[in-house]
Amino acid sequence: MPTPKYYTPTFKRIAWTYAYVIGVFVLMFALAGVLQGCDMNRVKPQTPGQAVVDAYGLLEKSAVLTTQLLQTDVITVQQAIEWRDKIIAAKTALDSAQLALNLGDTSTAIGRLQAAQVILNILAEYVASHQGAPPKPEPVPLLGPQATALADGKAPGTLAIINSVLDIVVEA
Amino acid sequence: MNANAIVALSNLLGGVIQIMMVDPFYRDILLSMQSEGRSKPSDEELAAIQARLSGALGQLDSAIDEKRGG
Repeated sequence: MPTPKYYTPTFKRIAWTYAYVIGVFVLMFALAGVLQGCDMNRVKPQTPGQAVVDAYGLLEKSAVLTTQLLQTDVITVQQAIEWRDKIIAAKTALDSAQLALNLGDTSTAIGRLQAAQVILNILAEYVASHQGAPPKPEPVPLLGPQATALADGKAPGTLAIINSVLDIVVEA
Repeated sequence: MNANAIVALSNLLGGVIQIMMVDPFYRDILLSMQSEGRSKPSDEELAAIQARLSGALGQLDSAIDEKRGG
């Protein structure tokens, strides 16, 4: 079959350029769809107890990602140790938040949970500097009187707890 | 587009998708709590959650020990 006359090298180059540009756009739209779908699948916590579960999940993901980054030599052993210490600090805060919830002390639980979320945000920034866009915890859902108390700064020890955990993180 | 750029792009996309993917374990617990109107996880759920986190931390410790040893 004879080659058509318009099928010249110049034509092929232009055609490939168009195909490349269209391909990039299709890839970007596909990625946007995937990311939007994944984000929509995320269940947003509606109570402090559910926020604790969500935070545990993010913490586990942080530990798994840290292991993967270490195994692929993206981060050093020293960085991995530093991140692990922060994961343990957040885990301690979450364990204590869960304990406070079981005892019915919601204000203390929220304080511990917020402290864990501060550390989770720090971990997310670390991961972001090495791999993609990280997830961040949802703000702690507050109930009416607790929200008012926190806004007024009257919740017992909340800021002090966050500051003390941050001090531990900074020292670590 | 050279090979390095393709590898970097695929790593980035893989990382983003991996991070954004919701773990069905936690998703199922949260959906169960919300559908049943529970404000706290059950003892069994909490034990499973803490066991998974401890396992992930154990793997991280092992990886650190392995790198130190190597």
